[in-house]
Amino acid sequence: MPVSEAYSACVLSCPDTCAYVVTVENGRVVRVRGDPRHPYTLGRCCPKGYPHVLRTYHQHRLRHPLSRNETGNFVRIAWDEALDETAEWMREAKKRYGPQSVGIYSGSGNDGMPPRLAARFANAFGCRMMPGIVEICFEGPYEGARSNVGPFPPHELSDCVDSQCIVIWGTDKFESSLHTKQVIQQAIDRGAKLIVMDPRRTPHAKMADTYTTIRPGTDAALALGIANEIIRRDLYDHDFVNKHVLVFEEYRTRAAEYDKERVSEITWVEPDTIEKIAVAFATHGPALTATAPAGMNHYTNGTWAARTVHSLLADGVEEPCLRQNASGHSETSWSEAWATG
Amino acid sequence: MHPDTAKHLGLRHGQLVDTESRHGVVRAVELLLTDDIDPRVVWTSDGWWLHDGNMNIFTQDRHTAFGHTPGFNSVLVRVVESSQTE
Repeated sequence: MPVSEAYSACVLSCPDTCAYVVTVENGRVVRVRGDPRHPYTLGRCCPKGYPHVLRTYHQHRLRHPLSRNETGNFVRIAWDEALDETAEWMREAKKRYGPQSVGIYSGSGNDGMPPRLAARFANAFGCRMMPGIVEICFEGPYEGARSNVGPFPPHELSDCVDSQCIVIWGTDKFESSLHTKQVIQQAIDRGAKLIVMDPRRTPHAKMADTYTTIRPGTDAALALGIANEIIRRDLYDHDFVNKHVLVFEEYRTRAAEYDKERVSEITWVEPDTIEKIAVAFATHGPALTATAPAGMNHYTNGTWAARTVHSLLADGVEEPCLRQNASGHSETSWSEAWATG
Repeated sequence: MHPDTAKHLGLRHGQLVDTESRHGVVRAVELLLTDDIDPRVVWTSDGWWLHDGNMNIFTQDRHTAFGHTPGFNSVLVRVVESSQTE
């Protein structure tokens, strides 16, 4: 029986994008396993990725177009019919209202080439392609971060290992980010403090040096409260501020409105805890803040929440990465991270 | 939902509940209790099907001031025993 191996990657819209080795027997995929040579995912994949084989051949998988009839039921139609009908609707919409009246949406969990080809198709047609998860997840936090620090490349995941203070802010890295979880554990093993803010007591919350709940929608107030404590106690890096931070005085004035008692009323976080987080963050660095493109950013004030958290940078005690990490300010963190593999 | 909250509302683990916000209601979702959540907060899975707790029903159309992100995680809801028995 002819057996071959092919190389592919997970398409489930997770940013880790696990590399796969796919075993094919007689033209049929029989096994998916992680590729250990992929430096980011190291051959370790999650339980959502491994069942791709089952998903691919599942009896309920839709394999042909359906059309809704007068009774509201879906019935199978031919591909030619489906394509002609869709083309006619698009042509008519373009004629009457212009190409931008058509939107192409890819949903999520089906990344890979099809959305890329759909994007190219949208360019040719002159309409918009809405990538599935960007506008509901990523756009807010990206815009918030960009407003503060401009476009910035994320840190290497391996940089996390050098952190001495890890703040997991409103995201469950333990259960939903297995590659981040691993480097966080390495940092903890090397003495990093762990701080977790989350209304859910996640597995990382149970391991944390400091854990606090937080009232949903108030993360921006907590970030300003932490900033106020750091500035008030003069724990920020003056040199960094002079060299790299614009309008610091205005920031200081704004943060001063958020004393820990007021912030505690807004956020449900105890005043002592706000103080404790601020001191650990500022003095037990290099610190990193792990947020998610969901969590605190899924509020109607979510973009501002991202801005205030990124504003903690202005204190010169951390470097951010929107997705997961940050570490020391020096280039040496690279070699150290690589050395520990 | 936290067990204390459930007790206060007269709800039990495993029963069907209706959850409503100012914008919509999702009926007959199974209630699960856990100590690992703030008693003042409830959490729902997301999904297309209503019995998975489709949170799009709850959210308002207002998005973030810039960045166009909807407020999935800051919705005020009321949870009551379900009017459906399914």
